[in-house]
Amino acid sequence: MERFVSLFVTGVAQGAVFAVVALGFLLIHKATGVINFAQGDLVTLGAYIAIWAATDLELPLLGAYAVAVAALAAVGVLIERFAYAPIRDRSIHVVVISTLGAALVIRAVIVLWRGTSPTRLRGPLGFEVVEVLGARIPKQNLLIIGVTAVCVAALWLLFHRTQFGRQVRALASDRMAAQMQGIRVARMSMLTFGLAGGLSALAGVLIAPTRAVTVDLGFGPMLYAFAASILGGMGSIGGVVVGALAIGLVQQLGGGYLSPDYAEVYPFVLMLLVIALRPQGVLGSEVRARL
Amino acid sequence: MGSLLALSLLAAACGDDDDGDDAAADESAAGGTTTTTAPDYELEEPLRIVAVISEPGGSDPNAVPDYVDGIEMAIAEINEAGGLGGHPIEFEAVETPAVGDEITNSLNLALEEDPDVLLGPVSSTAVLAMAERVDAAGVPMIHNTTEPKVAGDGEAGSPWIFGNRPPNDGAARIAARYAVEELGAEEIGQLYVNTAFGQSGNEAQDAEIEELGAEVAAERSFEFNATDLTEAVLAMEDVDVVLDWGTPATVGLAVNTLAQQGLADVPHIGPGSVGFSFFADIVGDESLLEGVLGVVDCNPADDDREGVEAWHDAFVEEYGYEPSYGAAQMYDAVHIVAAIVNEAQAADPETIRQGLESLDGHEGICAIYSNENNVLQHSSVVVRFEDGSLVTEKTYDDVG
Amino acid sequence: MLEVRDLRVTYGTTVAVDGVDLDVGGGEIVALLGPNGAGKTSTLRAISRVVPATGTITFDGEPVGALRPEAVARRGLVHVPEGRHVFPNLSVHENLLVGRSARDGRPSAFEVDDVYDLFPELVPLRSRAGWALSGGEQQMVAIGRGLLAAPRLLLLDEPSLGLAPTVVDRVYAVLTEVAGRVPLLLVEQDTERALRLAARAYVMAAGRVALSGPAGEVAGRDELVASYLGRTATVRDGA
Repeated sequence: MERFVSLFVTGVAQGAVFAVVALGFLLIHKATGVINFAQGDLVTLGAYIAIWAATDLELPLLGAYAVAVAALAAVGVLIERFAYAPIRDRSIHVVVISTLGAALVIRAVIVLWRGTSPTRLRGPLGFEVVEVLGARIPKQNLLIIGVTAVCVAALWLLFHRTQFGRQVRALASDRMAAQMQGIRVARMSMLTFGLAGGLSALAGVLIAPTRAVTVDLGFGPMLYAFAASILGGMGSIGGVVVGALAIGLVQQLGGGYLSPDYAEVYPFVLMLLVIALRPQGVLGSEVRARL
Repeated sequence: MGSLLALSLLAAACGDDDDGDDAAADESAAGGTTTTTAPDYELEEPLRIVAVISEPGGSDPNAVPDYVDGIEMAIAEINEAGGLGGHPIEFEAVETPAVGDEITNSLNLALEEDPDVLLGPVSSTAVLAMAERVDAAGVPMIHNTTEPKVAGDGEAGSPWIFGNRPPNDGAARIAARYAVEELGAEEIGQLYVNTAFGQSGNEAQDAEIEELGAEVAAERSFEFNATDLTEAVLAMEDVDVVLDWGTPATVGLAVNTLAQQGLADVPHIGPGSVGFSFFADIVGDESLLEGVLGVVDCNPADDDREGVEAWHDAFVEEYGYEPSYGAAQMYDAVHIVAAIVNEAQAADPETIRQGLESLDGHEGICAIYSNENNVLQHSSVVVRFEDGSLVTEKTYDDVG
Repeated sequence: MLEVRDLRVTYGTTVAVDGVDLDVGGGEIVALLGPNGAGKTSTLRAISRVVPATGTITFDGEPVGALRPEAVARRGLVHVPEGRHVFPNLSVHENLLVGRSARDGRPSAFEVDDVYDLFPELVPLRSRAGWALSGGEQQMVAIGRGLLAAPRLLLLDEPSLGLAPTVVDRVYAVLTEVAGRVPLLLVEQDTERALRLAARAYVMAAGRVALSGPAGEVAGRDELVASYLGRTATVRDGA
């Protein structure tokens, strides 16, 4: 039982981080139709900026996190301006390659700035654990789950209760009609890139305290978030969150009860199965992909 | 034809004079305390040493000063005592990044300095990127990595390339042997990263564990960028010892997770990276380090061999920080080359290459060095964290 | 208010609009008529900048021919497109709210409640998703959405297309009701209905304006127009 609880909570926490990253994918995809492959490196950059703010600037931890989120929102906008806006009318392949280019640039900047040696971002809760049904659960995992829940709720409200959210969804469903309605496409894409950047930083500061920070920090979460987005049908917040939790749980429980050797592979097996059997995603009702 | 004859004569001369090497080496081994009297001969040109190592403030933000400080400390000693063959040793350090395309560029710059011997690099990526060019250039190199592909029988091996770190699989075996023989472990847990480093370490441990009659009770591997080891650590619940051949990041994560899962008391033996200064930062909480073990190349801070403590103190006095094993190894590398030059009374690349090839029993600060398969060091030390510093538990001289 | 001069739209080698001149005055209802493929929809799309075109387009004295489509809409030149283009994943209510995006600070003659008053049949459908609506309901949403954009000129493309006659009656009843308050440029194949609503009309054929004039005159020359349509290649600009 303890083992199950432990793996379950870990799976949910991991899935929660994937969800935050995947929501960034979703936002940008909705507003622009592209997948931003720089998302993983934005996660890493967010963690490094938080480390810099906490150690070099000696800011209190939450201040450092806030700096990271704000800085990454700005970086998101810069990526939109330099890697997306100039080529937005070009083929989708060009745009995706451009985001990959942005990813490489970010990675190179991190290596030049902070180097390749692993480092650490402190978490507000240290390594404290709570016992739940006999299982020792790191408090940081509970924090990750809690923050993600708040974040998902906030995004849901943003999407469904604000004009900005309606405009993003309108843009996602019919770009030409959205333009005819006066929705400022360029501004929407800047805002969503900025929001997605902030979300990446949030994922970065949530996950970094659970492990050493290296330049690869965001790569795994990005891959799993991508799988989660495919699972969720790249359409709705609910779909993406369910997809992300499924990925986290499959990884942990598959690793724990089937064979640990393939823990990294289960999520992708699941993704391929879903693509084969239900291409619109688990909760998807429509297939509309520019990728 | 003439040069070939000369070469073989030189080779013969060097080969015959192994004992002489040792004598010269012994003198220098005492390091910071003893001065070497310069033998009475004249070199036509001074010995030129060029390092391909990143220094702090250069291209690699994580560069540590240890390597170049070790080199400069040795050169200063030798030059103060009159240099080699009537000349002070000349030294240049060429900024060399740990990764990326600039590595080749650094090597080119280094070769333009007309070196008699290259010291470094200190990363596997860099030494692999340089190997072919170094072989073609015909300049001996002493790199500070465990990269097996540039060992004598490795696919990128060259008669010009030597390493002064003990082999990875040997160090991994030592972890297993220490667990069984010193800690009395019968049921052993293994963690390792899915890279050449982790896998070859794991295989070496498997063989050693079987040989010693113990048993692998749980085994878990993970990607180099694993974000969570809960499942792997939970699998270690009933083992006597955890052998962990991961990256510094994953070993740190395993230390944290073991503590969170209430398994901090299970002995946890990691690879050499446990001895890196940033390892404590990764773990994040110094108290979690207590009792963590690592297999490092040497531990100059706690080594009772003659002269080591004096060297350690002199280094701390001069540079103001604890020297890593890398500092000691690069210090030793200079003295190895100096001993070869003094013995052969020549400082050309081929002489140095032959001297390294026939190196046998040079006593240095970090180890006693002999060449085998173009690997010069064959000892490792098991260390344990105690009050934030590394305490030597046991030294092994037969690492392979 | 709207002046279009020498408008040309080409798709590859096909010339869809070939030198159209067109004017809509303030407060005017103008119909743009013609058979399938005459270039009516391309003309509207060129005006709202969703297809590239050459020529000059001036709206309220300012050139709009180089603006992005959303900027054109934000100036009050609002296009209710052919095929309705209701946002499928937004509810009726949300579709209407999105319509307000183009106001850009202009006072609006219509608020959401006014649209529900115009189209009471939408009230029970407030939270139904766009994709689940019938064609007529979608047309109502599209017109409502356009009205909420505070249009200074509403470009209406084929509002009767594919709808049952009773539904077309409803749509035209509403258009008649708003006609006094919003200038319209109406593209329509149903010549009769359009001419009843409009004060002036242009008749397009093969990418050119074949005939233009007050609605009554054009209506009177219906037969003539019909006969023109068979031999459009020889027709010169008729403006």
